[in-house]
Amino acid sequence: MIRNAGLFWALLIAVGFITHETTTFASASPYKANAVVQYLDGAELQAETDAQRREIARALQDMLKKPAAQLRAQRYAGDSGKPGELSITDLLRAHFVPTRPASLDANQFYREVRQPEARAAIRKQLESVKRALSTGQ
Amino acid sequence: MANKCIYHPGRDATLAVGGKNYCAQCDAGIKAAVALVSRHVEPKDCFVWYVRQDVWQSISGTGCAHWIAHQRNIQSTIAAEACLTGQVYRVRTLVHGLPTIAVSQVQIGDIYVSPAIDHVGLISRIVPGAANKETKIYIRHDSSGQGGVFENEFATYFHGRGSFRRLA
Repeated sequence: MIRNAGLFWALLIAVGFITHETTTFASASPYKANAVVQYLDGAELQAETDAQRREIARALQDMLKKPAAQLRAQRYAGDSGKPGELSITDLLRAHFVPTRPASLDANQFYREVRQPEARAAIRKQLESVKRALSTGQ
Repeated sequence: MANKCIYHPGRDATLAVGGKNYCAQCDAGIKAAVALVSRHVEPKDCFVWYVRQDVWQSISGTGCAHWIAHQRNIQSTIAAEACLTGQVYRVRTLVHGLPTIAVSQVQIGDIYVSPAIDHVGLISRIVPGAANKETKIYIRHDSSGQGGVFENEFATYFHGRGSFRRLA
């Protein structure tokens, strides 16, 4: 009986530990692995003109609305305002400085842009671009 | 004993930049990344960062803060905050802790900061206004919109909006 009780508690502790680790991994892992989050979360916006800011806002809105295939085909104005020069990943690289040196792999980006954690990071940056636009230049 | 690469301690260094040593693979990665730096960015040779393993890329962003950092020698010892030669490239890092100066007190060498703190320039000229005319403040900046380093006037190009900071 005593031996069984000891076994019971040992099993309970082991199950508890495994559950905790799995939950922690499951909640932390996608956040860290998502390319969009890694790049945009906490990134610094750099833009010189309102035309650039409007194009960045348009791209972020597209990221929230358009399917990956459409995003892949979409082109945005370059820094000088010439339309159709940049892919969405090029535009993000031109105007957002991530918190740590990071690349933006296009394939991973299009695969993960619709994930909920990515959308949260996009919304946050969209708000910051809208604030930048409202402050005027 | 040969110097070793800062990122790959098992490899001998073949290049030294900004007091740091790099191996032949890093040297090649740096050169390839520099070739991809946007045409408006100045200086270009150091606007690269080490991402991971053997991957080097051009630094993201417009390069406006990076140009000022080189003009005024504003450095960071934190690798993730500095270009290859140690100068900062983030606007917020550049202006952090700098006192704000009233427009009437602005001097050559002060830093112009856009209202959203997303663009910066250096005050390059101040032309006092004649009778009933306003003083003109000229700002030199690495301009992604114009494709290089340009001088523009505060009241017109920048619509008279933004703040001024002074370096110690």
